[in-house]
Amino acid sequence: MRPLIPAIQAIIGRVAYGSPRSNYRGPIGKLAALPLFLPIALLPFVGGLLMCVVALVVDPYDVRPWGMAPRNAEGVYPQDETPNLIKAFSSEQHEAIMFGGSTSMPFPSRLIADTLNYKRVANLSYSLPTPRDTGPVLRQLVRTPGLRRLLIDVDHSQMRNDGATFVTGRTALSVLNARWFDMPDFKTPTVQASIHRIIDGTYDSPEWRSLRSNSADTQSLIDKPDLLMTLDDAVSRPAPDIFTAPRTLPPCDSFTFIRDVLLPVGREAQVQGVTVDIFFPPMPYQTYWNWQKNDVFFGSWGNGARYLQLVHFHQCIFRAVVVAKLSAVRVNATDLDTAIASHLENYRDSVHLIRSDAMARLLRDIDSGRFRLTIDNVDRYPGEMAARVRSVAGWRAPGQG
Amino acid sequence: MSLVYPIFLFAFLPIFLALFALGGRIGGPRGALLVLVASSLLFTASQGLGFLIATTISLAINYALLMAIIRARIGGRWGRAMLAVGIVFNLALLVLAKYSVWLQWMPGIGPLSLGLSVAIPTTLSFLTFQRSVALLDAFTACKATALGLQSPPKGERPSRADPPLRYLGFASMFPNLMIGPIAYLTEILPQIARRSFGKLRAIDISIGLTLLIVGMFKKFFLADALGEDWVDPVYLDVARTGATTSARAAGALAAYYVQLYFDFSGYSDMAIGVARMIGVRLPMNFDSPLRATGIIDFYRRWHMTLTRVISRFLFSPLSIAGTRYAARWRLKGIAAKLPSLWLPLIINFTVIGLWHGPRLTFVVFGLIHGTWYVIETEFRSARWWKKKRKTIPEWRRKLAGAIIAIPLLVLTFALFRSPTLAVFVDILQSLGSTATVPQGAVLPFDKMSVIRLVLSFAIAGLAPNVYEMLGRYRPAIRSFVNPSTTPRWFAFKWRPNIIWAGLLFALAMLAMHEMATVTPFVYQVY
Amino acid sequence: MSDDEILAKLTEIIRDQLDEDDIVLNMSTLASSVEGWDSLAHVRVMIGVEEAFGIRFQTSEITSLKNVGELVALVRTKL
Repeated sequence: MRPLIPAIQAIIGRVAYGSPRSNYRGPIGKLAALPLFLPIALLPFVGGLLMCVVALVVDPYDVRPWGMAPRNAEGVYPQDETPNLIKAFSSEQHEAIMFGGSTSMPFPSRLIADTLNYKRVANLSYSLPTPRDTGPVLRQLVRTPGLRRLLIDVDHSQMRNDGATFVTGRTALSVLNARWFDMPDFKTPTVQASIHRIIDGTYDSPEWRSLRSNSADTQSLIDKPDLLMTLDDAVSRPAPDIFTAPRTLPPCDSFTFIRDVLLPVGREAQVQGVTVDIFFPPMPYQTYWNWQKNDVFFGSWGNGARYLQLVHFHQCIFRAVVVAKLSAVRVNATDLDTAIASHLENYRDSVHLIRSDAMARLLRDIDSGRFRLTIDNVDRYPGEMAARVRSVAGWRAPGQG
Repeated sequence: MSLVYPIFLFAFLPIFLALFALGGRIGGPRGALLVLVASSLLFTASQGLGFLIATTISLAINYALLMAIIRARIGGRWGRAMLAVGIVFNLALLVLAKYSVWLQWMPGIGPLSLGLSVAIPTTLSFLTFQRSVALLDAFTACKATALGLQSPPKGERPSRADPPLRYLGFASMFPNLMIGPIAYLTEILPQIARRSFGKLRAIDISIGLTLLIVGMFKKFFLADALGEDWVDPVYLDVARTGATTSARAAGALAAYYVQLYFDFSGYSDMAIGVARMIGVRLPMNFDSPLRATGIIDFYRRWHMTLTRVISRFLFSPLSIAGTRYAARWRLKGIAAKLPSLWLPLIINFTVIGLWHGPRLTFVVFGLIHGTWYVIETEFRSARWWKKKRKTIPEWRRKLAGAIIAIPLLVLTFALFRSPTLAVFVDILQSLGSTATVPQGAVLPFDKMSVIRLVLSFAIAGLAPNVYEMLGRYRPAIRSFVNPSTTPRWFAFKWRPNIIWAGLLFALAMLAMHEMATVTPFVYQVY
Repeated sequence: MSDDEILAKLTEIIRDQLDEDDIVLNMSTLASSVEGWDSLAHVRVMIGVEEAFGIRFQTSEITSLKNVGELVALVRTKL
């Protein structure tokens, strides 16, 4: 014990405070002075180099002209990863692609394929897309080889005109604009999945696979009392302007979405021979009451009834399609489908669908064109929507009223 | 490409070092210098075509003027004129490319400025100053400069290629090309002209690697994460909604104080480390400035290479002219101080503020720091203070100085961060707000971000900076000698042993974890 | 004027400009090691030297001096 303390003192003095070699020369002292500095400190850099090599060779996001051909798994990737894969997916043959916000994220690609009778389908939706990123993303996706159908879910995040993007959109843009040395693929999960690509041919990982298979139907809205209470409160004690017609509505050409997304993508789709189906997500009508009363986060609401502002946006989209003669684009007012929207058990929360039969029904709505907007029916759209929103005026959550 | 890109750290750098050693082995110092120049050309090209063209033209003109100045000083007469031409050209290029926001309204110059700013999106600020001071060095120390450019390495014959190659090596070397530190020609030339240039030494690589890893840790693990968690969302919210909660505002102010330091000093450490790997010692940029005991002390520790350049270029000439003016007209008291000290100081700091970009908040920042500097100068030179300070122990004076200076620095840093004066006022007002629920998109605090903030303050407050730790090995050139502010117990010293290797391994892994998981490597989106 | 005389006169000027009566200078003294002789005071000192000796420095000469010995040599060349 006795010789240990001066030894420790000497070691600390030398190692931590750089004091000159003391007279203590025991085995512990020698250990602290071994010339292994460079090899140990360089190890992380060797790891970094290996990661770079894997990323450059596999090129999973298809950023570079070289690299292995992208082979992605069938099925939806986690939310963090999907925006990275826009370009990669657009290099592989797909007959149909779905894109949109969180309202279209729940759609399994297999369900879309089976319902619409396609062989290979991808759902590349990520949360909170805005016109700034949606434009470049869709312009990339519309050129996917073998593409026949582009399903675009348009929710109110596309009403923004401030040029803002969220982290998902920024990620997608940064991959689309990356130069070969920018390395958006320098990430641990990406390298792991890339190693998978080398070994068994698909860019995938066990973690992602397990996330995918566990996203089955779980708790729905009717099992969430807090959410139901919020909706109940919004309907039974509504905001006073829930049905007030907006004093002013923004002119159609003020919507960045129309100028930067709809028109260029619609024209490109025409050239490529791709059918574009724009659809508006059906939501429980109680949600519109909730937005009127409680939504402080979406800064683009104007005055008056918010659902009417939304419908106005939808009508502008349709009118732009007509004026620009975008023959490849169809606009589906599927938010009018009461068969889906009246049943709260179809939803995970106040906005997002969860039951696959409801999703299948929505897809069949789009395919059959039941809710397609035409020149004849577009002017009835606000009235139809108003009737549905009013129809839940007497609704109370179970256990209330 | 930049020093913080993975492709640079893990591919470009090792390949460069291997080729550099090979060049040194085959061609001696000249071979190694050729590799450095070629690699720097590649690095420059990766910044974009506009930048490449602009900087190549700038190199050609600066070199021609440099040689002309040397010849003129030795034999001819036009040295001063050519110095002026060179500085005007450099500054004009910088101002036109960078300040287009303010210039675009002027006829003729406006469109030129806009065009340049689009063609050259990356910063010219550092290389502009570095090349301009090089011209000044050629003018004032022409013999030393000529010698540095022309004298062959020991034992070799002189070569006509030496001057342009060495100048290129100095003016374009990739470690400090984009964000400094701003080096003097007379500091770098002797280092690349010596015979041992091109021989990689294990100790150089070890020291350089230490600096690089510490810089990476500061930049990725501390600064970038602090900005993302504590600062950016709050400033975005205030810009959009005009207010935030007092807790969020306080957090943003405190976090930015350490974020800016770790970001900038981390990058400087990386640059100095990369240069040190090939045996070149760049000047230090930061010396624990967050523990400054006053604004004068602060500027001896913060961005030291800019302070010394602006002091030499701007303050000294103005002060000398002002002092002469006061002496000639026999001015006394304040009338003398105004032209000789106060105005030069205020102009000096306003230019430092303005140098960061065409923003009103930068100008106000400079004005405030300039005024503060004047006040502190007068305070320290006052007779009554000189008497009084002898009665107060040094540690108490320093502590009082820090207690006064640090809150003011935090506030002026917040001004520096604010895109407009309105945002600055709003965020200050939010400090007193009673709201508890923030509007907008700020996320709730998580444990890791709180730990990170506490760790950052602990490091900034107590830890020695990496140059103190490496002190015995002379890692970099010191422009200002400052007393250490590290408590004795924490005055750790670096040695190339297994313990320090383990520590650096951990720091590198933490930094790489951030690089490899956090999304914002947003390259050219904005 | 001999170097020692120049040095003595310089010491007087510097003591006066820096307001410190106990400054002692020799040929190898560095400005950074004299209390109060920072870059701000340096200008005052140099202009004071100009006035006292009736000479004039170039701006570059003022900023590039390394130690007192160089200053003495510089003054001698101007006299």
